[in-house]
Amino acid sequence: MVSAKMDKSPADLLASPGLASLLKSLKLKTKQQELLIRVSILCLVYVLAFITRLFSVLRYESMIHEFDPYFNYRVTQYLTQKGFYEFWNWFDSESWYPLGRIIGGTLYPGLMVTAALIYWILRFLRFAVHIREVCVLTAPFFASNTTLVAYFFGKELWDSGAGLVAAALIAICPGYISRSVAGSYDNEGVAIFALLLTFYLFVKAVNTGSLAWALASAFGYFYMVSAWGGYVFIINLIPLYVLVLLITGRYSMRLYVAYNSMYVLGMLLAMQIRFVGFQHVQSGEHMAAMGVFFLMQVFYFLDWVKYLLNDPKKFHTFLRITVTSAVGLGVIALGVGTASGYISPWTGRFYSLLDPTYAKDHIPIIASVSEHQPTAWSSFMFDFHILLLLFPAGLYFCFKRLSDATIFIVMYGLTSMYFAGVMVRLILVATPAVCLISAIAVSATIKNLTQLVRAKSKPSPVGPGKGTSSTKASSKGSPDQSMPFQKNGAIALLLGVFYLLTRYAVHCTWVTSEAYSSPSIVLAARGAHGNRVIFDDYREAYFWLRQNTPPDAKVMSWWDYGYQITAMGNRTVIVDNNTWNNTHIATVGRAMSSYEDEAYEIMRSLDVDYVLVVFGGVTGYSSDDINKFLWMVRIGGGVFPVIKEPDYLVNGEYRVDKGAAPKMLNCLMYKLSYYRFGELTTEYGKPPGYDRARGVEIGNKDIKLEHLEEAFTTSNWIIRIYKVKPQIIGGDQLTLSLALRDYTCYGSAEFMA
Amino acid sequence: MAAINFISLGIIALVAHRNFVVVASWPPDPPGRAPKKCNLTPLQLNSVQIDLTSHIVRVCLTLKVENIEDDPASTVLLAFPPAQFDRLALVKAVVTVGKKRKKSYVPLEVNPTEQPSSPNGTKYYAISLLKPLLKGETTTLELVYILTHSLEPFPVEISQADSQLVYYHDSAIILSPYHIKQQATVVKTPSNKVTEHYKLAHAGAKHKGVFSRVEYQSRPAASGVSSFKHLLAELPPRVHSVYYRDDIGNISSSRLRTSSKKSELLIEPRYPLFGGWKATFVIGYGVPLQDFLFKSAAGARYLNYSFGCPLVDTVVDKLTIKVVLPEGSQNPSVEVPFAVEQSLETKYSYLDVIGRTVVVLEKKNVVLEHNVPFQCIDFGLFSASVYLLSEAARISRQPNIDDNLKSRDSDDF
Repeated sequence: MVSAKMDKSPADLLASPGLASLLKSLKLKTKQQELLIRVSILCLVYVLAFITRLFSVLRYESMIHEFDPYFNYRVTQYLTQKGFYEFWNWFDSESWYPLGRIIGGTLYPGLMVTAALIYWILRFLRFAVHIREVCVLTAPFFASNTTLVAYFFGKELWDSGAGLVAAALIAICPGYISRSVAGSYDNEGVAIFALLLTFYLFVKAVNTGSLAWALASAFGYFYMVSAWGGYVFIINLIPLYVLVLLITGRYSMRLYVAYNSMYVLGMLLAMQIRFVGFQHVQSGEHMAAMGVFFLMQVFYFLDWVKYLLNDPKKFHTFLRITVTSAVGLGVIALGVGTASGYISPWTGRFYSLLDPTYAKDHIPIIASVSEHQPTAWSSFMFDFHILLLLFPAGLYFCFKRLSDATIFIVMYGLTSMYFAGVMVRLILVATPAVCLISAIAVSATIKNLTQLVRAKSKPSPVGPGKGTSSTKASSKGSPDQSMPFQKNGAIALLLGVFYLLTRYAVHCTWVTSEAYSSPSIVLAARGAHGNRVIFDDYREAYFWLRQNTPPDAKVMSWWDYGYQITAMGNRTVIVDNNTWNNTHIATVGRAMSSYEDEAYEIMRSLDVDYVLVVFGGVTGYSSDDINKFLWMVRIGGGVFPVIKEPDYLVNGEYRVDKGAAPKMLNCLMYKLSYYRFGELTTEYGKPPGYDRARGVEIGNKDIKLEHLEEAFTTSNWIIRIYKVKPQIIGGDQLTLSLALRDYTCYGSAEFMA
Repeated sequence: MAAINFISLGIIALVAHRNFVVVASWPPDPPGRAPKKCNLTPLQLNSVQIDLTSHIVRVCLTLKVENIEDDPASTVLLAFPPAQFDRLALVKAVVTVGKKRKKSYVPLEVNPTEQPSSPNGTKYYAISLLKPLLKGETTTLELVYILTHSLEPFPVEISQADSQLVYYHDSAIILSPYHIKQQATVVKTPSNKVTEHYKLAHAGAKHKGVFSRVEYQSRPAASGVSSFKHLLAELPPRVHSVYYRDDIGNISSSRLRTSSKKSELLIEPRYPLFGGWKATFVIGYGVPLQDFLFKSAAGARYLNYSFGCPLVDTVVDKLTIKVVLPEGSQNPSVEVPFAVEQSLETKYSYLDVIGRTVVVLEKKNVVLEHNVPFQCIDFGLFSASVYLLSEAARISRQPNIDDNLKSRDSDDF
């Protein structure tokens, strides 16, 4: 794998005697040779981008990973079985019981429709593939396509050399691989392709002023809108870019054509996606684009007036009046729109991007997700490696050769780097920009250095890699006698660059293999003898649910597992990963953090039949429900003030051993996780009831369950399922009043929310 | 290229467990009443042996038949109550020929028949004798029939640690359209020796109350005696690319032992099966084609493969076998040593233009005795590199699940 990657490093572009003589024997012209090399490198990169994402398939099996992909997979199955209209009108009663979810109106259908189309085409061509295989391989396929787009984008920004380097870099960049390995069937898999395609087409449109490219970018934008909520980034970055061009005096007719046609058509198309709809003209996030659209018209109008007046003095007066009134009008319109509620304010997610501390204080449900945390430095290094160093160098080159295109990539790079710093998952959005800018750095450096190396030696007749003749390069390439050891220095630097690129390839392969190729639904560990131990507990539990519970059973679990339970267990869940209703999730959080009898009332009001908890105490699996429990308390407490976080802490410390808070030791989550755990010896030399995930002996070993009973526990205890006992008819007065109080409490909370 | 593709939809039923208790009821049913219009009124000494050592009930009858009427008789009728008739997996009859030393068994033809006047919906099988019996002549017939799903769990619900008991209900006197002179019934229950073998499963008493992993782990012998962990599938020798999976993916708990005579696949469901719990799965494998594909003297190629389900000691309620022939096959014919339902289908697989002919064989109540080779003959062109693939079985404890079972098409490569 490593050697394969080396093939694609820019080394091939430069003089390699064996290759050169081989090409000479083919009797091709220099241009043809260059084309041949370029095409073959691109093909290799295309294949490489695909196969480097297959680690998980080879190591585990062809399966869907993680959480959200299971929902996408389930929806795609539905789409291929029932057809598009059924899919569009699907009301899913299996999730968010008793509310249900209108699937067609609350999702971005791009991914599912893409996969279904690929499936139908393959079926039509008589390839007897299963829909699962298509879904598993969709992300790698689109990653391969992204490399092609990166090549053309790089070519548009700089030259074809930079394009090739960009394609090679993005093919194996861990920041992108993390979301596009085989089995990671998520929106981002196709969205990054769509994002880069839209940007490329827009830059192309700005460069050429061609209506065709502008329309193409509108369609690219439409695909992006259909695929991922991250389209908001496009619809804010492009206006910002246009604004910068206007300010820096780079306004041109090309820009006018490109932006206006892209915005108008893109908006109309985007509104066809039901999940977006009129938000595109009404919500705060989209207002910048509209403002810039009107500003463009003002600019055009001013240009026209200037041409008509042909008198700078008069024009300045006119300019002042127009600009003041235009800005005034805009502000008033925005103010009235916001006040009347016609323009909705920014969403919490958007706020939390601009102000990283916002979510922590106001929206615990966003802050609770690990991928929404601010990025640590180590993650940047992990995901970008040398690109992190090359990025500033590339920015330097871009500033040295400013054009409309390089201004765009600089802005894309800087804004996305900021967002990547705010949220871990947005490293993904920054990756294409970082790769492109780094590619410019690599390509420009290598080109300069090789010209130095070749300056003194007799120019060889064939110069592969010098295909794109740039005037700047030739001027720099003139022999400069003043510097001693120039050639040696250049050779040493070249070797240094190749060494860095080699390290990059090694690092990327290692990261892909070690960190990003685990399905997370099947856990693997090394046994005592170095053999691989597989923990397949998740599927064990979900399959048990699927086979051995009534088909209409309702399962309550923390929302993380909702999608998996509906997709693999085929059972109704109370909450799932589509966190659209905070109150509902808070109700589950409240049930988990209450005493058993209170929780029983809540569960009865939600018709819960089974409760599922994830428990890592036996295996030492740390992302279990006990470790997530404080978030349940916070989210529950955010809506129901009965739940107070300090009740579960001792001196601000979260513990599960003897010193734990009494409420902690007796809440439902604790009981369900540790039920009969006290009888089990998990580790040699430790007392029974030793929790390996937290490294302590548990504090409450004598757990009695009153309203629930153990229905199933998987072989490594990772998933425990409890059955809610039916209520004894004729319960006492106290329970009844408690239930009534709960209902009123829900009502008010719902109203406030 | 082309492929053979077996899809068997089966139900593996209940295996009786240790501590067998026969709560037999022997109702004083009237002996079989002879229909008045019958061309044969024979029949004497019967010996009935009922083998209850497994969940598959094997009944052996020895009949001595005498023709007491004037007309020669060529068939003997065998009567079954309608409930039993539905659970019949197999009826076989042989006649003994020769004396003690040179004794040999000749199989007789047995076919279900309709009788004009059958009391209480009684169903009949007709045994065709080798030669018609004249008046006063006698012959001795040995009959075997196999019943499935005839054991009921007793009691119906048990908890994790309880042992499984089953209940067998039958008439001590066999139903017959003829006058029976004499009958002896022997009931054989499992001995200790075979206990190990039958602990695999039980008669499906519903699991009640809780499942406790602590109990199950710490006292595997005492707790979960009525649960069921492994299944053994006997596959042909030289199998390769074996897989064992279900709707949501691969199941990692299986072991394959291969030897020159047979391959054994030990499969474990994802979770221990207690009574009333279900599991569905698919196993598939490839075998070298030259072991099963032959050329007949007439120039046609034929496939010789074992009918029946490779899972040891299981009953299959409904078995569907599909043989997918290569594209271009014409007029395939199938030879099976017993009656099966046959039909043809067309299936499209990789890069097919006109589709592949699929021979579909269906049989209800399949037991071990049905694991005999059958032949599929095709006069078209069989490609040389045919791969055999995939047998899908479904296990369930519910007897009537067939209708809603959807077999996952296992695709051939």
